[in-house]
Amino acid sequence: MSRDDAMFWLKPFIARPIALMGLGILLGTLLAAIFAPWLAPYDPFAIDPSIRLTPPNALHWFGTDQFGRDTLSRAIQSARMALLIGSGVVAFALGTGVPIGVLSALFPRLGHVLMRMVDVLMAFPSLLLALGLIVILGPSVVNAILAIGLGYMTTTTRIVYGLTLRLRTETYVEASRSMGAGTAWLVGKHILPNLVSPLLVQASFVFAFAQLGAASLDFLGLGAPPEIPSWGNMLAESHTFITRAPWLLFFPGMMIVATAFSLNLVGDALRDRLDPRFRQLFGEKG
Amino acid sequence: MLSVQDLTVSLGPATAPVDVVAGVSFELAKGEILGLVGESGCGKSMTSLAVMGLLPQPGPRIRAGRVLLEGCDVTQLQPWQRVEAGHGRMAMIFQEPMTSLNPVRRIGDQIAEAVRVHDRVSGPPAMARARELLELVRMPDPAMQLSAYPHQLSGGQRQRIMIAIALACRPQVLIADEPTTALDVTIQVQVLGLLRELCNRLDMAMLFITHDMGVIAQLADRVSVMYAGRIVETAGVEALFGRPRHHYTRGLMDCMPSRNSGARRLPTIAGQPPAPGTVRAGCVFASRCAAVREPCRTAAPPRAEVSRGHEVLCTFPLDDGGPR
Amino acid sequence: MNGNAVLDIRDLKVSFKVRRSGRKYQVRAVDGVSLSLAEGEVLGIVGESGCGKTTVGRSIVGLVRPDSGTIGFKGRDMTGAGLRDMRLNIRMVFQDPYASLNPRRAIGDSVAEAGDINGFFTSRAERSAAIAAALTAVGLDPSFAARYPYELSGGQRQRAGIARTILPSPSIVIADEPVSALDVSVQAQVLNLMMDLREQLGLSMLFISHDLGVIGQISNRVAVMYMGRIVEQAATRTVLDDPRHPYTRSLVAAIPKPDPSKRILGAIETGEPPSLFKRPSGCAYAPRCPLASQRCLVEVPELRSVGDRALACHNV
Repeated sequence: MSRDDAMFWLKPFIARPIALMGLGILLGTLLAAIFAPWLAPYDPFAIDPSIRLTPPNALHWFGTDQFGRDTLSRAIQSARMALLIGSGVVAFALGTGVPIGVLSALFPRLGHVLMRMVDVLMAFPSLLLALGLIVILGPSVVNAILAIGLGYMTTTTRIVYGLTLRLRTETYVEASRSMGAGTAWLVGKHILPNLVSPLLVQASFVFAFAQLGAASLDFLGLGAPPEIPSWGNMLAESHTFITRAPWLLFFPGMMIVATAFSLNLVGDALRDRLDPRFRQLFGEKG
Repeated sequence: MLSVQDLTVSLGPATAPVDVVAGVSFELAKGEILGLVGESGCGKSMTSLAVMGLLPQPGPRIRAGRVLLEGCDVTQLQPWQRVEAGHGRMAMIFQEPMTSLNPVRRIGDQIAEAVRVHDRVSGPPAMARARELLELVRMPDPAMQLSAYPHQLSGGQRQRIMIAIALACRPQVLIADEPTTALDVTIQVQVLGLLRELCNRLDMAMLFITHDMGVIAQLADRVSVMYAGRIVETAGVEALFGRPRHHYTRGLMDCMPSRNSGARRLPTIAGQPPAPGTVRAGCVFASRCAAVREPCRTAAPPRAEVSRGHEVLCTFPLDDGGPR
Repeated sequence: MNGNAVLDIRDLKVSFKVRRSGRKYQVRAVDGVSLSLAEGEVLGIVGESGCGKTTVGRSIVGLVRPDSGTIGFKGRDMTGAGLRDMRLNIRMVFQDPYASLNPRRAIGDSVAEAGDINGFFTSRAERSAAIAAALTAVGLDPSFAARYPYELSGGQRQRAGIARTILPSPSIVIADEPVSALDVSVQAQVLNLMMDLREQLGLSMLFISHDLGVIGQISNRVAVMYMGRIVEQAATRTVLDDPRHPYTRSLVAAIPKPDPSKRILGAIETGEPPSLFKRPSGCAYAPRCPLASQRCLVEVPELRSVGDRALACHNV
């Protein structure tokens, strides 16, 4: 990526402080996930009944839970699960949605069949779909990723299908066909490269909604196993203490909201970047 | 009637404005057709939008200059004031009529809506006026067409509809931005004929914007040639085509294929127009001018009246454009 | 028709299925067109939008599949065939210089695309040298190879589009309105370039345009199309100076002449354009034609030879 390219992507963030803030929160979460053992002030699994349900104080900034575990350390540790679920869902949604969408658009007969199946899946609310699948597959991290990912596979497929239908009739694709290009060439050289930018935007939204989905599943006890710290699990474990120890719900809840919100902000900024009308606003050609 | 004085339209931040239209002035008399001709990016469309008060927001803005319609500066008015004042009557038609028409509403309703806004009448009287307008633009079978949808019409008919909508406000000035560029030549000739007839009949002035020298020669009474945001030459149509004085005007005429039938190679204007704001000193055309001399690169050319009603922005204008 | 024809099209018919207002229509875009292109010749196809001229060009390069008819290249029938050497031999220049280059590919990659697809290059060095040569041939600096379309002006993009069609050098170029999206001054530059390349590379060219002025400048012969059929065909000067078919006449008369002393507005009658969905039973031009007789309404005129031209009209 050249300097110009970097500036191209940074511009909408610089123009809008709130998007820059979103990017900041996102980077913070990423750092927290990577450096969790070093950042966390305490061992997130260490039980100490003598300090159970301590409100936030100088030693334990986010307070402690019913087992005396440090909430801040657990919240930091949970960033790992958040990123794992997020990237897993994005990988699954894009990994299945892109090929199905592209092939459906290029081969209309196949597309008719595949897109009807996608329509059927889209008819279910995504959380309901995820719940149903988990009930069948049994709760685990991988199954949570599959269950949430399936819901976003459908929207990704729809987007890719629509874009590919349009790209297929672009003059440069026709030019390529007139020179004897086959399907593999068209997909590799013309269609996929032009899908990258919109998919980046889609990925950021999917990542954000995966956070909410995962938290819901965790809360219902259908996501990550209870012994693994995740924001959803933290909420689930302590929701009975909501009146006695509200901090136990406030901090993990804030983390979920902040992550999802910041991803949405980043997604918005990326989308503006790609909308030609907004490009003019930033005073560029092309 | 319409007097545009020193109009400057700028893009970019107020601290470092880039002038896409730089000091454009022209006059338009009652019933007159002024052709504004230039290549893409020369600022001709931006000029028309600025005159109409339709500059896209946010984006370009009028940095200096006045647009006087019967002595009243319309750049100072809010859009609603223009209608209120009742004399700010200008209308505009565009290149692609399909994008200006609502695809799911009947033609009659769309014209009647314009009538309703301007005449404050609705129902049957508005529809009657709509029909009258369709007759005015020589639409075949106007009563039938009132209930048609835009997609049922041909490109030429759609442009007639747009003209009818524009005429609903009884404009004193019609601004036409490349209204025939998307049409076939046989239809173009009809629409151009209609526009000229309407100007004569309604005593309406028209600012006609195009890139096509042929269309200008057929239609306009006077012509202004625009290049890089400036009007470089203004003259009566006979004088301009008979004896162009600016090197750019001459170049434009020379490179038209229809004037050169038979020649093996077409004369060309070397290079391409400068990007807005890149020419800091001297003449904007200096980089492409075949007759460029030293002063052209440093001193801005004077605007000189070389003969009555024939102005040219050039330090060394052509002595004799010569009839070809 | 012609013994040394490089391209010989016989009775080409192409139709499209169109759905409109809930009904299915079979629209005949090309209705029996025969053309032949001689070695080194530029044949202009002129007509208004929807007359099928673009579809003729697109069927030759295999972008649409004809219903019937043959397309012969140097004596071999290539209808519907995706034969590699023919792909390299017949190439197309597109109208819109903004849409015809992939915004995400460097100019050099676009220029070399035909060679890349068909395994023409044996080494990277050969490839870059060929790109540089093609760019130079169209008047662009070889450094343009590394640039992206958005950095280029319309004229430069169209030059790049032309460079793509001459690498490797073809026998035939199908140019579909290659200059109509360009400004007049740039149009002249690109037309000159195309004439130079035709001479240097010995190309034959099918030049499709709605603009008789441009056609008159570049082509040796002209075929005038109306609603999928050729109505008049002759040497360029013959058609422009002495059009015989009533449609050609109105087409020539309607060109806005850049001469204010010869005003035509209001002086000529051109009628309403036809609808592809309602094709008249006889001559397609009859509803607009000042010469139309009873016979024209029922019998489709065949293209026949009249003196130095071919003409499809009952009354001329």
